Amino acid sequence: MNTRPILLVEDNPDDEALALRAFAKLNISNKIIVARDGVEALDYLFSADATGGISKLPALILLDLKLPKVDGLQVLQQIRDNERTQILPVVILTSSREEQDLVRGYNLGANSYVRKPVDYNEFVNAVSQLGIFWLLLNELPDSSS
Amino acid sequence: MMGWFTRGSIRGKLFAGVLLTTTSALVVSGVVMVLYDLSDYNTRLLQDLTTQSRLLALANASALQFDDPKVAQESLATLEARPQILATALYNAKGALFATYRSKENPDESFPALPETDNQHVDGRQIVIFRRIVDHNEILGTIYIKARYQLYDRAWQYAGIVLSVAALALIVSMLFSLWLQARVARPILRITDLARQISERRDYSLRAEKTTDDEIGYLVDAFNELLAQVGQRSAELESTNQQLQQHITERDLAGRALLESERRYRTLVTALTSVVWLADVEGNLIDEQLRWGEYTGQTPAQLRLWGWLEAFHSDDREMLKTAWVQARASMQPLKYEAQLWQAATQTYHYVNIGAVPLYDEGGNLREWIGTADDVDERRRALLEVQRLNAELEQRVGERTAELERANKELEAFSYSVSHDLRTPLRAIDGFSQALLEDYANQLDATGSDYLTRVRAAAQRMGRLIDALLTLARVSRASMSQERVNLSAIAEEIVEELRAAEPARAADVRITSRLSAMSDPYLLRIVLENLLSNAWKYSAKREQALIEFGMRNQDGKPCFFVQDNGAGFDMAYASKLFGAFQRLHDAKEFAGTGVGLATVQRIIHRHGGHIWVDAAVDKGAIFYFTLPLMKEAHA
Repeated sequence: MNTRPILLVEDNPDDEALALRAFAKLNISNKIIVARDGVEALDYLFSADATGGISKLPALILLDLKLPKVDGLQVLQQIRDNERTQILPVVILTSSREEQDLVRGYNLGANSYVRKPVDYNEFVNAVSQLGIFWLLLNELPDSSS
Repeated sequence: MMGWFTRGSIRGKLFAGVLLTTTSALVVSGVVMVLYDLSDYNTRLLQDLTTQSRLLALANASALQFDDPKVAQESLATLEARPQILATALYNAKGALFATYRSKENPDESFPALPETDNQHVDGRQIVIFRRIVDHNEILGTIYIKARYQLYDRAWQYAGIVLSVAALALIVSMLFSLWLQARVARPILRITDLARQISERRDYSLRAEKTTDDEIGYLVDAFNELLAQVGQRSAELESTNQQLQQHITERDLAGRALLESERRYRTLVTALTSVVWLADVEGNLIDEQLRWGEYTGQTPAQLRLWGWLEAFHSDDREMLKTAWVQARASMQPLKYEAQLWQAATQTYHYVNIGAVPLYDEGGNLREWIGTADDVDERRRALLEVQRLNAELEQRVGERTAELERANKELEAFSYSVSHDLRTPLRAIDGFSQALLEDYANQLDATGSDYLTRVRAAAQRMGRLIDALLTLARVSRASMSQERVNLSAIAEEIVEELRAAEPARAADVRITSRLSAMSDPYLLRIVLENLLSNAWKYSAKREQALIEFGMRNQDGKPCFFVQDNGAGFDMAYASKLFGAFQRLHDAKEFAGTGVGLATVQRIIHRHGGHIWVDAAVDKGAIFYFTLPLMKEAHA
């Protein structure tokens, strides 16, 4: 199992709490790093570069779209524009089911697009499947791990 | 006779000519010969009888002198050798009978009592001669001879011979005449016959056959040549005649066309609403301008030279004059818009002035024909239309901008609803679940039930929000038009429904290959709603039956989705397609009440119709139409 942290980009504290609870319930032991807006997320990803800790790069980024300061799509674009981060798996996790958001997200190189369901049990299911896929099954080239 | 001669045929004439010639020659020669022969006979008979009497006188002179009647008798008896002598007598000088002789055929002959002087006379078929016997101037006696006179017999005999010869000659001459006809008359007759045929049939191609080289041959040649010439002349004449006829016909037609055209022109000029005017080669308006006068009120005298220009508005005169001068110089049609005085309304009206040069057959300018169309009303209407159009365009622009703004706002609103309204619901549901799971031991049954209700309500609201968003999107999403296989979509939806409730046994019948021109995404929403409704409302049936197909309703083809489920009272049918209208309570059948409103909006956006037929506990049938519906038969 990939032991690197998971970066959760989420501005809503309720959603954050529910997500953290879901990870806990699913026994996902990876460290969860929470960024509450786009700037924080970018800071984490690119300042990590400055301090040189390659191991701090997340195993998975869960990205909300509607964020203060810099929105999720802009964050995604910068991740994909940077050579170091461009192959990181990014899952868009959002309330929006607007077609345009879906299309733009995939165009910018999102690996998945998951709409947060109202039913919490469904949400837990979704997170569980994401975790299993991206943390257990998915393989990345050696250079990035 | 002359009449017959001119009328009769050549054959007859030739025949008659030959006969006449032969007969007249025969008659003349026969008569001459008979007459000559008879006179010759008469002369010779007299001579013979005279000689006989002399001989008898000589022989009996002595017997008389010596009065010896016996000798005389013997001498007379020698006459027996001449049968034509019937009787002879000798008288003595005293005139008494001396001796007599009678031929055997004539024994009863009586002699005259006294002798006569020398004479002879014919008595019927007998001739009688008296001759005196003289010796030395002394009359010794007289001799009497009676002989047969055969002149008449001879005459009859001759006549018979002549007639026989004549008859023979006639037969010969007739044969000759026939031969002549064959040689001479037949070719002529043939020509005559031919001439008759030609005169009857007017066929100048017939030719006479030449059989001889004589005058008739020459005649045939001449006739044939004449025929050829006549034929040629006749053909020429015929063709000239035809040409003439054609000329006449053409001329006739042209004349009629001219009349017609003139009549049409006159009618046109009077029927036209435009003013028609004429100008001469110089470009001056011809005095008599009926329509021009009517329209402008100008008199013929006022028209002269540039007088007509006064009828136009002073603003237009200079330009119009220039245009007219140019048109005349270049011989090009004139087209100009100007204001012309209308006497009837005492105002200037906009007119379209047009003029075209008219040329004669030689290409020389003859006159100008012009029109002035009153376009005042049209022009005003056009200006009005243009103004209205501009206004309309502006209004449409404003309205479009408003709509675009409203649309943007709606989009922002939808986005906000989608994102922000759902977030708290997630918290409500999620934390309720957390309470149920993490604090289960501190909650009694009622507390758990309340939390479960909170979660159900939150989830229903989530579905409601989704349905509303779908409805909003359906209204503004751009639509594609393609042939969509509705049957395939329906199959997929039914698969999903079965997967969600594998325990349900429902008989679903879908007609294959149904298609329509539509948007596949929107049609999926339609079928999802209709089929899941049918699925839902037939849930309580033991034998649920759901059908999707195509049929004719009121003579028009339409699709239908039918179930045998709960149905509803048709009294509420009008409410069915409104948003948030529900005919069943949520405990019985869950639902948002927005689905059919969405369905109706999609069908309407496609230009189709949707209607429903239902009865409580009998199920429902939803009918809908779409563009270019098709049921393809495999």
